[in-house]
Amino acid sequence: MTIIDSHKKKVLINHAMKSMRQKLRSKEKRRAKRKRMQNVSKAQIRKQQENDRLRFQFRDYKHIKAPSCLSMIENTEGTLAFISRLEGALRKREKVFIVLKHVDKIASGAIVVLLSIMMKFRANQIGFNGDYPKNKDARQYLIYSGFFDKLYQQDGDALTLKGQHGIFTHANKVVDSRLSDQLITNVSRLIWGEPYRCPGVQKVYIELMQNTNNHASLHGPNEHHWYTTVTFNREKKKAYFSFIDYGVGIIESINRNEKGKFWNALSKIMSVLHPQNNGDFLRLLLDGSIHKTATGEYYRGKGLPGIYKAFVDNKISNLVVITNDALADCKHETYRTLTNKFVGTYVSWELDYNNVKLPYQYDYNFNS
Amino acid sequence: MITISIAKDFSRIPGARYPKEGDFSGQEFRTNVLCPKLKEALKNNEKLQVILDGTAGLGTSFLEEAFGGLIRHDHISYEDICKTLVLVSDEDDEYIDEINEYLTAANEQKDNN
Repeated sequence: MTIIDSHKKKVLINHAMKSMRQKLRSKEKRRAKRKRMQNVSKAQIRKQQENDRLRFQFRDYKHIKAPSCLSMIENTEGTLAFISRLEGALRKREKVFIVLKHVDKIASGAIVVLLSIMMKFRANQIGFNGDYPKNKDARQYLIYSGFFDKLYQQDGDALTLKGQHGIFTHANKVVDSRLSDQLITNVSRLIWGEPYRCPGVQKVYIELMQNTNNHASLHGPNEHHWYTTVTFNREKKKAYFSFIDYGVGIIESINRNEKGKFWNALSKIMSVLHPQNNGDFLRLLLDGSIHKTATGEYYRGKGLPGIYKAFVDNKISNLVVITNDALADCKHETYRTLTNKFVGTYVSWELDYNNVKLPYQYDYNFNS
Repeated sequence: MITISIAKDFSRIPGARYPKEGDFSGQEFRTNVLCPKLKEALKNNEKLQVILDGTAGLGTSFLEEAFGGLIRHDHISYEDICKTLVLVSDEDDEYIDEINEYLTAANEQKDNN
């Protein structure tokens, strides 16, 4: 017979009581779980388990919920607020998990927005992940874009996302006229049945790429990437182009760049043209009024007016420009100031059957 | 008359202003194609026809650097350029107006300096 002293006895009793309490708690938990799971299908259980797994796996990530309509055009303010939250996390170097499961609609420009944000996190070596939308169309769109596959090819600054079903996404820092020509060749085949030239679209691309290369940074050229996505709607025979750069934005660049072409003419622009707000300022930039009024370097100012002219001349359709807190919807002649600010420039336009096209003049190897 | 075509003699996909900004720049076109042919035409007292058609599209920076640069960097006089250069564009005659604007502006800037 073993004789134990009163202290050891107390320890053993405490241990037994603790063990009992744990068993009771586990039993309670199991009972509660059984109760919770009554009338819940196996598929729902699996989904819940998947959600729990994701929550656990990314527990040290900041979970940021995307708006149900992720679109720079249809839900500008909501999407900009989402981007702003991501930007805030990036500034604080917080790892981010983007919650997309409740997203019902992902518009054509959203891929380029998500991709560009992802690249910013990666460039800063900050964790970035997300889930899939439950909505079938939105999920398929993301899958087809290749966004989550991470199967992109990187060649220096150039980046290509292996999309499917007419979704092409690219990024670079320099002016890549070959790429834009290839994109145009691809979509013109889909729109008109054979390849055509679209000098308006090519011009828009060159001006935007050049703008990113030259003016997106206040520190010097070639700092920022541009990103572009092209999608195609077979039923409407229409191509949707989106272009984004995360530079300082057009209006900020004008207001803050002392070496900029409009710097010395800012007071003159304000006193002569009286822009009512930044939306109105963007309108004056697009229609060339600011270029005409300014006395900066004479030959560099035709980028935005050139893009707007391509729209006026029916070389592109449905031009939308969002930069800083300004939005220009040229088709609907809406120029307004936004509540949520966008640090950078977003431009989208469309190409359809009725836009201007030109035949190829010379023999050209389209496969080269 | 000497004839050059941007699409045939340089590139079907002209790009930016300077080579550092991307391929097929205006500076490359001016240095390698346009300026040598213009000097040849001036030397032989011939016209130089530049065909702008056939490209995928022309950016403003490309055109300005290619043509304005003739005055700014190659120091060819505005008068010599005007009497020698014949611009052809059946596809978009605004390119011609645009180039003429760049030449005038480059000449004015040279005079101001």
